[in-house]
Amino acid sequence: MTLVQAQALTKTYRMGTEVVRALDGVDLTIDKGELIAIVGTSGSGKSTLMNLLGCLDTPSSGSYRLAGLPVDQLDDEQLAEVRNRHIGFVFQSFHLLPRQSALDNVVLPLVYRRTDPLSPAERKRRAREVLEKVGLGDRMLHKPPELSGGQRQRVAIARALVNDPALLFADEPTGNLDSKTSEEILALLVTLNREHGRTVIVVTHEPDVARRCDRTVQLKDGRVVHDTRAERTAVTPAPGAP
Amino acid sequence: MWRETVMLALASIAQNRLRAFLTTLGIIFGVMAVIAVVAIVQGVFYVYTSQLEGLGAGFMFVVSGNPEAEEKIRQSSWVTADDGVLVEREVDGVLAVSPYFFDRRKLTLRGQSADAIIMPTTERYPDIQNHYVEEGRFFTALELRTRARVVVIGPDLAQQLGLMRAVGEQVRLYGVPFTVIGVMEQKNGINALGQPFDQAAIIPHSTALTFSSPMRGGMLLIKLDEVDDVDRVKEEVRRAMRRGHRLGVGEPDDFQIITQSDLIESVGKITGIATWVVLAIVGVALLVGGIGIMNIMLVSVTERTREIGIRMAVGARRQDILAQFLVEASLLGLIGGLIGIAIGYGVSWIVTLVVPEFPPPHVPAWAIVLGFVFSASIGLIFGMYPAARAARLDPIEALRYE
Repeated sequence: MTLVQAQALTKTYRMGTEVVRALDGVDLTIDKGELIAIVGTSGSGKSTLMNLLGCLDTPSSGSYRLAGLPVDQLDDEQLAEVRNRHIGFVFQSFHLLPRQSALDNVVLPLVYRRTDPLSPAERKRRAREVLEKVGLGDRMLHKPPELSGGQRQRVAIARALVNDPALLFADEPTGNLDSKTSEEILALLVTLNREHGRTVIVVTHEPDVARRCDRTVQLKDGRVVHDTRAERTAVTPAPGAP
Repeated sequence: MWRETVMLALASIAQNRLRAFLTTLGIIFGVMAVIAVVAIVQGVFYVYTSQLEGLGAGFMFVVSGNPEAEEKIRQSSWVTADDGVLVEREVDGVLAVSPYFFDRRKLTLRGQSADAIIMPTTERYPDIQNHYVEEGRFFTALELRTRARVVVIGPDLAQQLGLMRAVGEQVRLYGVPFTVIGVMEQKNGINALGQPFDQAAIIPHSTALTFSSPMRGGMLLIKLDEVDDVDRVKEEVRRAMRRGHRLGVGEPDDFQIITQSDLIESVGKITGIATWVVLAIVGVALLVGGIGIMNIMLVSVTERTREIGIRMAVGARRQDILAQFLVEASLLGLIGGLIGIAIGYGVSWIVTLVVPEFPPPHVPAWAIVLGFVFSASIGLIFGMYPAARAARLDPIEALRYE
């Protein structure tokens, strides 16, 4: 089933007198359940693509349908609704609210949920459930500064998941983590994809991260230059295993 | 959603308590001034009004001169004791009339001296003014006729002269001895001539005339039989006075008749003006307070740019962000208002306690409601621009903000 359908997606910026084409006619179709990496060097347009696909921005031209919704025709308010219900973001620098507990951070998207809103008690219950799922059941009342990088990213993942979105974006999710923690976070993202069928888009410039995904879309100068599918890799590579 | 927004705003204010306090100082002072001044002015009004009511509704007085007359009035026709006799004789429904004026003199007793307000009147005075003798007695009609040198003194005067038992003492007034025959009961406040009751030395009117002349200050105190007869009696007193003063048709009154309700009305007018003047000044203070709130909210929006980006990324609409900052600004104003109301009330009590004989503050409910509404709406109005700036942020830019 097609989840993301982008056609001739273009984004231009005006920088002084010059017009910059950050994204130049990108066609991209992503099916439900894919684990896909968007790679490219800095300035290749991968962040712009993520912002457009994540409904944080609107294209200058081209069409974008997410789960059947004509996203390119929605207004600010409707985009907020789409971000709330259909999209989860995981950022490189976590982007948690530092003064609020892990639990309150995870509750946040539920607070802004307007269609079938939840009671405060139900919000807390769901947030706890997701935090337990990402392995932070014992750290729920800690504030982000009291947590390690890996724990913070788990809180961010829990926040991204709490509204049960169709699409999970991870923008350089391991960029601020050491290699061991990076591996754990990647494993978590892969598990979410493999075991829960979550569609995950990882934006990265690290080949190691991209290699863990089923499909790699490479951008250069705002265009897709490679779109390759790999064989499904194991959840955890087991070097030396029989 | 509203509950969260309010909790969030409170938490945000609580995180920057000192800053919030400094920000709201303008509001605090503004509201404090409103409450303190309104409390004091209303307190004064309340006391004066209740005192004027203490005179009894069936009360009026006639004073010399007429500020409302446009033509020049005759200079010689002061209100005299003869007018009193005339009014009492000719007007139906008058219980008693007493001429009255005041004169400031030193009253001495064995080298001790005190400033006295000499109040010459007749034996009808206690009934007319609802003011009676506490100790001893008032002078009689006979003493009035014979120009007896007797005096009834106010309690403050007795105290200033160091008199424990004043009755029977000889005091000097106008350079001659007077016998103290009574001490008036305590009656805080001022009489119809604007003089403090308790500082008075009341002497027979006829006696006073041998020493001093009432001139312009002469007046009549009139007590009515029936309270609801005021308008008719007022008109009849006017006619009698005009006859007595031989005023021709078309000549303006050379006197003025003031009833108790006229007095209450004029006190109300004065306190009303005072209240509005102060409210205008306070408006400026609140404006400054509002700009303070706007300033700090702008700082807060900048500081929390990243937070705004995060909220937008997880689904906050622009109006959610707008509401968040508007609620925070209104709460800042409201909290300032609350503190201001409390301090203002305190200040008005301090004024009452420190200034002797100052009436207790009286804070009407409208002043408190006004304080609340004003401070919250100042926050709301001056929070609009910062909140709109927050809501207009681009989520991508906001997330990237360091």
